[in-house]
Amino acid sequence: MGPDRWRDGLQACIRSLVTVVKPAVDRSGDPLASEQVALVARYLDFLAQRIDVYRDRGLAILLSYAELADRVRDALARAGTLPDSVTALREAADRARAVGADPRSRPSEIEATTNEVKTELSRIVRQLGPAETGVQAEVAAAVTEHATGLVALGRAWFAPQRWENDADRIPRLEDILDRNRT
Amino acid sequence: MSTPQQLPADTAAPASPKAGRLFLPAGRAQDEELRDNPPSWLADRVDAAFPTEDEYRRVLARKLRRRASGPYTVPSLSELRTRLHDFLSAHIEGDFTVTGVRWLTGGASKIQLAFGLTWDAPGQGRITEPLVVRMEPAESLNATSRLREFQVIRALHGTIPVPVARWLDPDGTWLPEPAIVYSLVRGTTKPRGDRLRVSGTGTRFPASLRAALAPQFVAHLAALHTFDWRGADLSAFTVPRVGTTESALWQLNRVRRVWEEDRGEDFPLVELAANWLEGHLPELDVVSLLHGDFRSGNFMFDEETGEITGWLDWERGYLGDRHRDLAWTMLRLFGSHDEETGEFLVSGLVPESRFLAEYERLSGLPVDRTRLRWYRVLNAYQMMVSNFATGYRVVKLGRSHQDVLLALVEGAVYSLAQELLDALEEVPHGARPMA
Repeated sequence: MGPDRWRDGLQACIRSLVTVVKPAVDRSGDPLASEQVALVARYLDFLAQRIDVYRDRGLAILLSYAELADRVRDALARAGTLPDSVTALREAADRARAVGADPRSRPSEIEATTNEVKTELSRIVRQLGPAETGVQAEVAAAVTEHATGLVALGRAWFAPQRWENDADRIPRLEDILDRNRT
Repeated sequence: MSTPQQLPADTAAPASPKAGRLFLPAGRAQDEELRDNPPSWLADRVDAAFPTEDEYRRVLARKLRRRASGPYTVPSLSELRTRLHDFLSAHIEGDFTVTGVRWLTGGASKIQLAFGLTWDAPGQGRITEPLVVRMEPAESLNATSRLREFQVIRALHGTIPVPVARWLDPDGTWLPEPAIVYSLVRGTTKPRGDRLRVSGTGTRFPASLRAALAPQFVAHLAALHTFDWRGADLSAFTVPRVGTTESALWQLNRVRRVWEEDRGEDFPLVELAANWLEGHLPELDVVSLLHGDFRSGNFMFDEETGEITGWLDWERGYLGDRHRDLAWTMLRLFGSHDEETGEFLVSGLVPESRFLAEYERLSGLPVDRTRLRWYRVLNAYQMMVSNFATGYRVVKLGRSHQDVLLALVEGAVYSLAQELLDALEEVPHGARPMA
């Protein structure tokens, strides 16, 4: 069964919850159940809107972390510090690119590989501590710059959930993913 | 340069790390096992690495101890009615009647139940009063103390509108989990017709209601922060020393500890925020009693008169720096924009500059921009940790009655991350550049 029918199936679930289940639950007088039926429908609707581009998003995040790993590795190497981390970052970034380049990579594999890179980077940031000079400052700048793009992607991804009042200022998901494809 | 603890998470306990540097990797199968079924050493290690207030240490250790007990099943109304009767029997002298036990909604973290109680209240004679049971699920978005919540509500009776705190079951001796019982506050948390938002975020008040609510909102915050807490029974609270950074550090450490205990994946930006916070800890100038979640959605009001009838959700209250409450209230997530001017309104009620000026005038306490910025970073960081780490763990293990809501709140993480970035880069509220 392809994603098109998944989407149809999901929409049928949402319709059922909204038009059949929720009115019945409302009549039961259980406000928690009524609230949760609406939330379930809302979550499924979000899933239906994003199911097509789930893998694209995973790839964009994976490759962005590989780039960040390169920047941090270079900063550490120039400073001559944490040699084990330099090696670990190189290996993690290489794996990330290999997984990213393989059209057969599953979303779960993409996610696991992304997590490896994120763990190495997080370990380094924690290890460097709060100092704001030298290599610490360079790594902090790289992480911040990377986070700006990552956060824009995350806000666009979750925009249908309407967490932000000024939703018109959120960049379009399609535009961000298109930029990553090119 | 200090060295973080790098341990294979599925093996023996790591040696004690230097404070603040314990790092337990996340994301692999063995990392998940560590957090899903925490060994006894985990609570000891995170406790040693991230010292915080005693009551939080107790509550967080309890959370880890009980985590492996499996998915949470919401008790039936029938079971709760029986348990409630037993609880009240242990606390009320004479006969009483419980009627109309029913679920309440509201909030992402605690179970709430309303009922009517007819009893002989001390000094009041035979009365029938509407009450609320506020009880923890097995785990929630915030591991907090019912004892503290009970104490702070009692302490503030007569200072600002709060429920009447009646009884406490601090360890779940009678009820299935720790709980408090307090009076039902009349009113609503949001105006009629406000579209559905999760957990009271981004409430839009019409101008007429803003005019009525905003002055009370600021006045209550000023009254809270100038309340003389020294005469109150706040035995479950730790008092930080003025002129030191320990208050800020306790708050930072509590969040760092929760990040270690709960997360399912790493996030370098979160680490960067923790480093920045550690490097810029502010000194405390005045010890105030804080609400901890002071915003629209957490007060009830009468829609006809515009009167605030009660402040709820005191679970995050603590003794510390007023800038924590101020910065929390100003979080973009809780605000909205004026429909005519487009100006950002704190909690959907009042422009930021007026909010701070009125607060200073009414409280007589200065607002320090450096401290305000530090707490803005802390608050965004804390909410990211709650939504991204704790929310994930609770949902994965099925530990609360609101798992579907917690699955949704993950979606707020990147809005909060933007707030964090803006705070780190000192971008003012409401002036966020396009990404």
